Amino acid sequence: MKNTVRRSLVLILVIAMFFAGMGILLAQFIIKGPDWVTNKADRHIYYNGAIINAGEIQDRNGVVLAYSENGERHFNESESVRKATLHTVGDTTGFIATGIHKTYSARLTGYNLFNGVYNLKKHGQGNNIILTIDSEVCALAYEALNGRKGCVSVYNYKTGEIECLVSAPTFDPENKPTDIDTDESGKYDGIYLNRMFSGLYTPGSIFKIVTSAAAIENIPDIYSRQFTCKGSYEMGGGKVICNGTHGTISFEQALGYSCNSAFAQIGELLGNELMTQTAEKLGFNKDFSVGEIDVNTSRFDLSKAVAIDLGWASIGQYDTLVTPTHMLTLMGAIANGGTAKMPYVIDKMTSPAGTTTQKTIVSNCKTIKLEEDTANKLKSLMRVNVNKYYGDSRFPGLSICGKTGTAEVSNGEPHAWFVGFSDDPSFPYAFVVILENSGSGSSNAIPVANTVLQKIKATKN
Amino acid sequence: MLEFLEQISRYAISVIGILVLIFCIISLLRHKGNKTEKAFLTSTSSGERTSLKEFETAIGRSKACDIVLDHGTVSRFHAVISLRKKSWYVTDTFSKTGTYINMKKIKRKAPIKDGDVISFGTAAYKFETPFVSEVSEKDKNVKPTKKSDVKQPEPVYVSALINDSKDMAYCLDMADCIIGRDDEQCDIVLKVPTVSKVHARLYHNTRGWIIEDKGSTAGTKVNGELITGKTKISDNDEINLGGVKLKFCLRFKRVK
Amino acid sequence: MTQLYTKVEEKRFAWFPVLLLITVFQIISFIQVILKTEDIDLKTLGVFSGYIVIECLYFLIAWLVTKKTNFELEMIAFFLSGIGLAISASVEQDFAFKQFVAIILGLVGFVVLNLILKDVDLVMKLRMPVAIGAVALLIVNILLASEFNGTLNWISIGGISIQPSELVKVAFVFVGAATLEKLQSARSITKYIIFAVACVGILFLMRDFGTALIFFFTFIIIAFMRSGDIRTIILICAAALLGALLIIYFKPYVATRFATYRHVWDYIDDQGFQQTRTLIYSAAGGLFGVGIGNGELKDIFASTTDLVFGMLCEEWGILLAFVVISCFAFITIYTIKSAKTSISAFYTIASCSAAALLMFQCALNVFGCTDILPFTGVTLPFISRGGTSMICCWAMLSFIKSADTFSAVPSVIKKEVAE
Repeated sequence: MKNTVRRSLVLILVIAMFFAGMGILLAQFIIKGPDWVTNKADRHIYYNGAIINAGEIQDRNGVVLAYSENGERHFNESESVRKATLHTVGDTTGFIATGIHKTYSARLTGYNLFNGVYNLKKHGQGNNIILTIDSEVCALAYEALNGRKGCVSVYNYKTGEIECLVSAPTFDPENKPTDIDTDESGKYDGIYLNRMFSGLYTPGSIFKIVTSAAAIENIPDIYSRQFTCKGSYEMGGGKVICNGTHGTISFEQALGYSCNSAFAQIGELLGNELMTQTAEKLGFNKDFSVGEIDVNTSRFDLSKAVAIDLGWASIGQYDTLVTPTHMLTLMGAIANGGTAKMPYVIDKMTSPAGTTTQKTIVSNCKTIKLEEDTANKLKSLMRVNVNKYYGDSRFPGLSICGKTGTAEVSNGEPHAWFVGFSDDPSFPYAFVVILENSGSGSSNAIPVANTVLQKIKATKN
Repeated sequence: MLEFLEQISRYAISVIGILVLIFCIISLLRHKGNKTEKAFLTSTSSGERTSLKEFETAIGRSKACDIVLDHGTVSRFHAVISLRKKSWYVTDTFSKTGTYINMKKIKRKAPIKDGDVISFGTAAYKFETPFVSEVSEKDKNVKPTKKSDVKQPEPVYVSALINDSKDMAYCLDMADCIIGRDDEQCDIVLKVPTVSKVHARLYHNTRGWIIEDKGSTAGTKVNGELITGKTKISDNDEINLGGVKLKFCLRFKRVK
Repeated sequence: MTQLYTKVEEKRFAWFPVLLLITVFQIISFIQVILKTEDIDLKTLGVFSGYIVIECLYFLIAWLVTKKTNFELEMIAFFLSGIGLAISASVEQDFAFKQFVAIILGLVGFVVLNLILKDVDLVMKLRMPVAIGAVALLIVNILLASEFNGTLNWISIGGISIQPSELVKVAFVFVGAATLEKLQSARSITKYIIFAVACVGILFLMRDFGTALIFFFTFIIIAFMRSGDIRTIILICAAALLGALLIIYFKPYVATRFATYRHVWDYIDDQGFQQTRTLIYSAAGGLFGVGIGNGELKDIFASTTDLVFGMLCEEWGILLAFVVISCFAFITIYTIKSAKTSISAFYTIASCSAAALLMFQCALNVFGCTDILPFTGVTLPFISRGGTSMICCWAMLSFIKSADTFSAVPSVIKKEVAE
């Protein structure tokens, strides 16, 4: 009998394995629960793959951008607002991977381990999310894009709030075009991408800011040096073509004229190593995120570069790719004396009753490390750019520091860039404008930036 | 109101579920499976007492048994003593040397009761239990006897040496006993001067009962013949120990 | 003479408060079902009140007859069956009545089997006929069965469909256990191995892999309990593994049934459909659930049988679902404790293997539908809808109960102290 009884202890092993299984299950519920609940197959939240039940999304002024009613998801009543805020808010089906509907779906539905989706099910209410964007400004920015692809974004470099965020092409979520998946003309290319976060662009001349930063930090006599531009610059068996023949110019003039010959020479002086070092200090090749939204990583890689490639890289061509968010933050760093505030789009989350459950705390960007001295020097260089070369008259009432870019791309017209910021403590805004295949930055991107900035200025007064 | 009740009941079912489980666990923790001694086996040779706490007890030479008998004539798995609905039983589990109840070999399974001597091979044990059997030896499966009947002494059969002249019997409760004049050394004491202090040994093995002279002065006779070594004795044999005549009776009816 | 047999101290299970709690629990859950169901049937109301009445009557009668209070097992069984009944009713009112009848049958079977099991000698005599009957039943099953959801484990007699493999589970434990004297005199377990191989083999032919797996696991437990020989067990497992590999080699369709294991999200709308929905809705319930009848999982196929754990999580809450599966762990711990003092090795083996069977089946169901183990489609004991399964569960409970000596002290008469 004692043997039989002793053998019954094998059941303890069975129980132990059973409890182990329960532990795994519970851990999975805790860790993966939010992902599971917000899966599109969940009929508590989705119907036919489209989100139906979730909390409201509002802009900074309380304008409702998206809400649920009677088991259906609705958007703002104005079509231009719907289109302009689509990529920030996200579509119902979650195709826009960086949209709030997708990235914050668990929070938006009010799901938590304790209550599950009970409140959503019972009262049709989830958590509300209040954004930092201004829907009116976005709508205007969308109109300013005037059908061109690209994106416009403006953020307050003192607080980190992104007030304007528009990506085009876009569509109206209430009347989604039926030909969106079948179209071959290219008008819907990358329509589900928020170009601000996911777009990777050749920077072109705006990269000269990075090269300048490297020069200021590493070439002590950069301000007294003279560079010769004969319309092109030969190096390492290749030739960097310039946009003009500038003759003998100083560093300051080189940036103002955006002289490729001069910057190729600066690049040559610096060499691969110092260029890479500075680029990485300024956030290239570093992971980046806006809240919980993942931003594509800007790339600067000279490991396979031959001599001429360094020249091209110095003026923002070669293999270098940047995301607009990164450029925006870099502008914030220069404007803010070296330390950038992290940009964010979600101001706070509130429960259905209205109490704030989560509020974004402003933080400094850790991936961009710019010396204060360098930042100030860059700031005055960029101020000179606008003042002397682009003309302050193009920004009435504003004091803008900026750099245009015309990035050559393999297919079609160059991308038009304009990045910069307002050097005015009472109007602390940095901006980025990119228009795909739209020609020169100066003539195309600057007016868009001005329109948006004027609008923001108007709303502040 | 209904809304409020629904809220309450949502939590209530989980809470009650947990309470039910906790109540059951508390009861389980409180419950101690205390084993009581249900019977005793006392060795007739050494007097060693072993208690039986289980309802089924395996006996054998193997360490896997509940009671390990390190004895040459005990098989590895010799027998099982079990307490069943009506009585205690001993079951021989195909041992080589057999199992005996009061010297009677059992076939497979037999009921036992308080006071029985169980022999595993030649290892004999007295069985004691507070449980009273409801079955008699002859009719195992008859209806249980009434409580009043149980108290009446039942006939018990043991092997015995009968002294006709003195009209008394020496019951061989043990499977191995020494006969002689000395009180301390002998199990059966014959206070007769012609009997040596340690006269003879009478024991039981697989062949049956064996008598052996222990170097007595007067000698031991079986059916009138003087024995020298070990001699097997059978029923009704006359044994003469230094003039004391005893008759060997294999099945002696003893009244309790 | 000293008193040897001291009366075993009666353990004090506070059965009355627990019964009260369970009744309140059931009233709350039944009312929620009633409130959620439109045009509630009178029959359903009858089922609910009938269930509570029968439950209370059972404990009252059992208490009066046995004068004992060790009702933990029945209490748990009634608790779980009540949840199962409410879930069945919340999905389809027709289910409730069938489930109610099954619970009554199960209870009757429990009482009857308990009485049979009291006599070890009778049980030992019945083993052979039961074994033959069980194999015969399985053979009849495979001859008469029509395919249902990929398996052949249902037969229909006069409009009532039964699942013979569930009944054979009872026979499997019944035949597998043996008394100590039987174990000592017949060292080999050859006969039982033949019986087990026959059962598992026929189940494989029926393509009921879940039940086959349960049988195999129970067999391992019984074989170990009987022989204690770990080498033999390892040998058996190795042989079974080899057999399984051979089957997969010759019949590749078997493997495809398990292809989605650990990859359910890649097959979200085909083979992984049920598991992913279970996970989604289980998590959606949160700790306290979305309320009975408010779930979405109930519309998924087999929601009240194979996926019932998901329904528990979603509508009743993860907390209660974990209480429910902890109940099975409780039953097993109870078994270990009572097996120590059981009357015969038969009860020790039978109770341990029955508890292991329930536990393993519970694990296969719960961890199967949540993709921690392969999804085999077995029922959750006591909770899942299904008549034969319910009867089997109650029968398993009577094996476990039989080891509890407090319910079966032999009717030997105590010797008086004075003597």
